[in-house]
Amino acid sequence: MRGPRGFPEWGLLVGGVITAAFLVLAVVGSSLVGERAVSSTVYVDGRAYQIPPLLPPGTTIEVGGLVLHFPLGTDQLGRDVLARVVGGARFVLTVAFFSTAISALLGTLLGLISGYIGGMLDRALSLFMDSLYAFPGLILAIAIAALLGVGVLNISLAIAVVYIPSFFRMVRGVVLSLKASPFVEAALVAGASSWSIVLKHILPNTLPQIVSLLPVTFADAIITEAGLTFLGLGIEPPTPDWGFDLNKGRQFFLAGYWWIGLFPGLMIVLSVLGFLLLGEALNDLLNPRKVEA
Amino acid sequence: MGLKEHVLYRLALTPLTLFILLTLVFFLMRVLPGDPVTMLEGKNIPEEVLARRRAELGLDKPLHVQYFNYLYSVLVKFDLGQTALERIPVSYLIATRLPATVELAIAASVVAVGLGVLLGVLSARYEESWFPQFARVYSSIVYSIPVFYLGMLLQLSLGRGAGLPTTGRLSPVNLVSLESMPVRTGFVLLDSLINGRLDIALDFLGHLALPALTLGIYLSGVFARVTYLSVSEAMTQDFTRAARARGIREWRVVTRYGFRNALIPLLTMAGLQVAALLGGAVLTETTFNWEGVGLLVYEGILKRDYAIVQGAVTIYAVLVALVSLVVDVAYAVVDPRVRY
Repeated sequence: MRGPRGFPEWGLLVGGVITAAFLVLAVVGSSLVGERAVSSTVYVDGRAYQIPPLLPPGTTIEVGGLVLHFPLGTDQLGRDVLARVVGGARFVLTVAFFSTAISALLGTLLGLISGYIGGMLDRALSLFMDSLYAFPGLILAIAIAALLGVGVLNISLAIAVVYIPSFFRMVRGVVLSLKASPFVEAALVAGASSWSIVLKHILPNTLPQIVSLLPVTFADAIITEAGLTFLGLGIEPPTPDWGFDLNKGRQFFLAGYWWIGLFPGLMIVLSVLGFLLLGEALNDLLNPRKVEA
Repeated sequence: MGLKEHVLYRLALTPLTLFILLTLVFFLMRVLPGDPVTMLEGKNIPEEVLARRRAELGLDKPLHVQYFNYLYSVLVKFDLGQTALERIPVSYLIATRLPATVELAIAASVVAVGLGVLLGVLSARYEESWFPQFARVYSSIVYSIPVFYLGMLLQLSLGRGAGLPTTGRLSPVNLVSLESMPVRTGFVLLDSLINGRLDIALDFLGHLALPALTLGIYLSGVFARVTYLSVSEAMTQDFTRAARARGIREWRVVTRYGFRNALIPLLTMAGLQVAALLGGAVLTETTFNWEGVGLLVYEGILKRDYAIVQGAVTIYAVLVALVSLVVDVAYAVVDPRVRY
């Protein structure tokens, strides 16, 4: 299962394109689809028309002289599935962004401190992080999200806790391996303070590994977010969200209205694949030594 | 250290692991913002009632007192609190749901390891064909697909298409006869066989098929990768070359000589996947209405009953500690180097 020939290059290209597309969708998607993602009511000349629910993909209907097209059909409440799928990118990707950022910042900071200071603090923090790592991440996130309630920042925080140990362990490992290296000792002898050694000499050396961990964490955060909103946590209807929509459309999906669930799910898979591909390619390019193994 | 000593040593360590995990759970539950009482009782409760409930639950006490109370009630009294509405002990609810989760976890592990080993060994055997590439793509897709989406797709295809049951642990009729059985362990397969009801056992296995397949496929990707990497590494080494030179057939070289090399990495991976297994079980149980602890968590979320969620998280900590014990002992059995 070794990478195909020329992998980092095409992985970077394909993963980059998919990732960029989803990021653009997250920024402009919601405003592009507007009300159609959250409402099944159409107003023509001040009169309200209801769009029928469960229209199959490719249906075109006419209400009050207005021709409406539903390439992906409508859901159980008569909302445009395409609009919901496009609008749904914003919530999940914002959450994935914040949770990745929070876990990277906190994990790196704690890893730097723990690795550099060492001693009891390092042992206690490592023990704590190891048990956090061993604990089922989703269950942890469920417990925290249930406590914190709805909202982008709350659910991001719940997810971030899961990924802090990955950054912590990686950064701490690099710090430990660099602490005794000649250039750090030289800086020490030259009278540099602990802070400047950690920030100027050690931190830059951890960056390639942090960067290559970011897309993978982002991808995983998307899956965790989908799991939480599937369970009804962290989001308030009618905000469009892929995981949430999958749960709400479940009964109808199984009754044969496959388009309700198929498309939100595909969006999750595709976005995760994009970020993963980007992550693997970045890892191969930035940390070339690991490729040989 | 002999095997017996190693097992005893590991057993002695388990309370420590458990203690650390429970400390973690307590820390996350109490130190993060968010108030368990407003979660338990709802937001529109008068201040006096809130204060009374807080005192009842011991939440007005200093943090270290709360911490010892939590450890004491979980470890000594097996008390996980009561549900908000009906005031049922959460430990009782979890005890009735635990067998279903264990059933699903075991079945899914069998599927995951079986499927993973099969894919990995085939990839190593046909190294030069398209198969390793296929297995790699399979692993990536399986990693990217949310387990509940996979479950729904299987419900639609194998469930609706091939007629496998898509919901619950048993058909309603059999659920009733299970209730009236004289000997009950909570494990359906065991109960039905002890009481001589082969039909119920088969009904159960039919219901188990899709959830186990879902969770198993979801976890199988990493096992495929680990098996492939270790087997294909072994296939380039001298001892497999010697085996081939002695005229042993390639398949036998792969399965007898190469695969043995994969056992320890597989075990390591199994230990690492326990967390994913339990987390995935929550979503799988919700998707298939499989009445385990995970579905209980979902019901707790829907009813906004935080005691259930908190109790279940505690039980998951216990499960993690126990399974890591089992994996460590299995290590010592498989690899003599572990017990110096």
